[in-house]
Amino acid sequence: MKFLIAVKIILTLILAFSFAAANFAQTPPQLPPPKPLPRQAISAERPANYEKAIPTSATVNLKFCVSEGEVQLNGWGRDEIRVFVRNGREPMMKTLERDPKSEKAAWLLIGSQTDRDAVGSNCLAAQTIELDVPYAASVDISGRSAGIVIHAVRRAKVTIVEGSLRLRNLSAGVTAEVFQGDILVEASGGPIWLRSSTGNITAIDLKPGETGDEFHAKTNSGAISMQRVIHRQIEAGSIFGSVVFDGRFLPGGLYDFKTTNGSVRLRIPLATSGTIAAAYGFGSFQSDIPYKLLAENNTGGGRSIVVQFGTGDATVNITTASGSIAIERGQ
Amino acid sequence: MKTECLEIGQFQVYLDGELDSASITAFAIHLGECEKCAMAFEQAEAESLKVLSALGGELDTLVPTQRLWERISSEIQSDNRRQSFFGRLTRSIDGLISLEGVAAAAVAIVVVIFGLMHFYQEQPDVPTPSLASNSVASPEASPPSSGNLPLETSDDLPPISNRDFLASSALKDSEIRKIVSQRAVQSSSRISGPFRGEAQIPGEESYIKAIRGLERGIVAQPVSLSVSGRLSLERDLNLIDASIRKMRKVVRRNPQDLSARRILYAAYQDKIDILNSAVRRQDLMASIR
Repeated sequence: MKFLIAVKIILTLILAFSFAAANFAQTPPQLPPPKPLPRQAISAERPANYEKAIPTSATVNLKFCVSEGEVQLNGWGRDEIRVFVRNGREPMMKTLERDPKSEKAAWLLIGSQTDRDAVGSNCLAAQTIELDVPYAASVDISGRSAGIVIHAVRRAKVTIVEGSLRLRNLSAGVTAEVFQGDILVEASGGPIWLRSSTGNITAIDLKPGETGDEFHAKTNSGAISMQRVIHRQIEAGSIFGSVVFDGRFLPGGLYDFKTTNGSVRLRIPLATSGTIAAAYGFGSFQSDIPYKLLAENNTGGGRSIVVQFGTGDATVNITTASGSIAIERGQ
Repeated sequence: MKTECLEIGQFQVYLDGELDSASITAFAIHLGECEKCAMAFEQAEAESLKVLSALGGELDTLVPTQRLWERISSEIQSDNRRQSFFGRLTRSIDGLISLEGVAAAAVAIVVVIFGLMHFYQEQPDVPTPSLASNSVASPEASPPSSGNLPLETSDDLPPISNRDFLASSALKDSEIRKIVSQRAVQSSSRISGPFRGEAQIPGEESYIKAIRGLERGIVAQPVSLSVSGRLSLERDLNLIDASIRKMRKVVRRNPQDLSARRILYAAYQDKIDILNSAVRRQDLMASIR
């Protein structure tokens, strides 16, 4: 036993002496003084206010991404784009394509000014970002955490991970996806495609730009509300939320409303003309408006009903696994 | 039929992903039926997300919960107990060598002083416990030995927080990722529940194939989903699975019921949409630096 202890002591002594010797012999080198960063890198990373403008064609395509910040994008009557960044990274404008006649930017990319060697984001990040673009511009925005408001441009395509999205006065269509947050689209036209994972979707006063334009809205757990949406083809589905349609079914229109657990509410005028085919599984069907019953299946779990209002011009399909379907009298 | 309301502890267990497949289904069904519980769950989830978001960078991606950390911790403890005397000695020496400068010398001097004290303490009546005997004793039975290095003594201390745990444990980042990935695979196999081991209904093959493909895609990159995203995804999938199960029963009972089929296929399509959405979210996160 003592022998083992002696071996332990000798080993620890050897270790102690070797460490002590190493410490004395090898003084740690002094750290060199920090190198001053290049001027450009400092300006790129320090939050500040910036304003830039560039002449563009009237129908310019604008593309940019936002890592965080509140974005306000407005259409205006000038053929130029102005960017104002408050408390953020310096914006950088890069012309990807020019208009062959005017030589002005026809496709523009806006990013943040970063040092060429620095590894960092090239998305805009600021407290607020304001953009003024021509009325006929199309915008393509992707973002991580952003609140975005777009007003009076031709077309918008927006994809953000989280945040809210408000679109108003867009004349030629909207494609928008927000993974966590609400979408509101007002007074716009053209094909509309809206998608949210956990947020609500609200669509008010929307119309098709040309024949065949469709309206699509889909959310997993939010609610969908449509008021005065006059597209002839409408598809709206929420898995766990409710779907509310407040408007008129147009003759020849195709309407498809789906939920898994949520309810479907249709607020339509008394003088509606449409055929409604509803499959409601374990749910229920109720109508305040008188209808003509065409077919009914009342087996548990597979309940369905086909009813006709007026002359049955529009075709309406409603599907829900366990939600309720309610048809109410509207204006 | 609605059963009694769930307790807050059960919400937490669910949010931590501790429930088995059957319990998750029961949980999801109950939430779908009981509005009070659904609201309470929403609140619990919101609080949980608030805490997770407050921790921010530490729990940036798919981070194991406290219970999982405890499990990992106990695994390390049992692993350490299994290690031989020479393994422990080698690790101790490695640990000592990895220390630098004055700190190392100080540690070594302390060890020498303890050794000398030990040498001159003659206690023939009490047998001196060896390191090897310490390594097989249960942590409750053996008090922390003063001669042990920090790596060994840390086993007796419960992890206070994830950061402390990371600092004190010998787990490498790759090992943590492996454990988390296994957890994600288990979670995903739970997702596939409704059709596992059951005969398929004609027409659902293509849906199931698409769903499996998407699930594989998600499992392949488990760490890129945020905690809140994963919780939300699991909750949505469990609820939709409950609906699919319900509708499958109806279709099985009456294969000619076209309405039931239509609802079932819609539910499958919803599941595909949910998974697609998760994949697109991953892609977007990856594209935005």
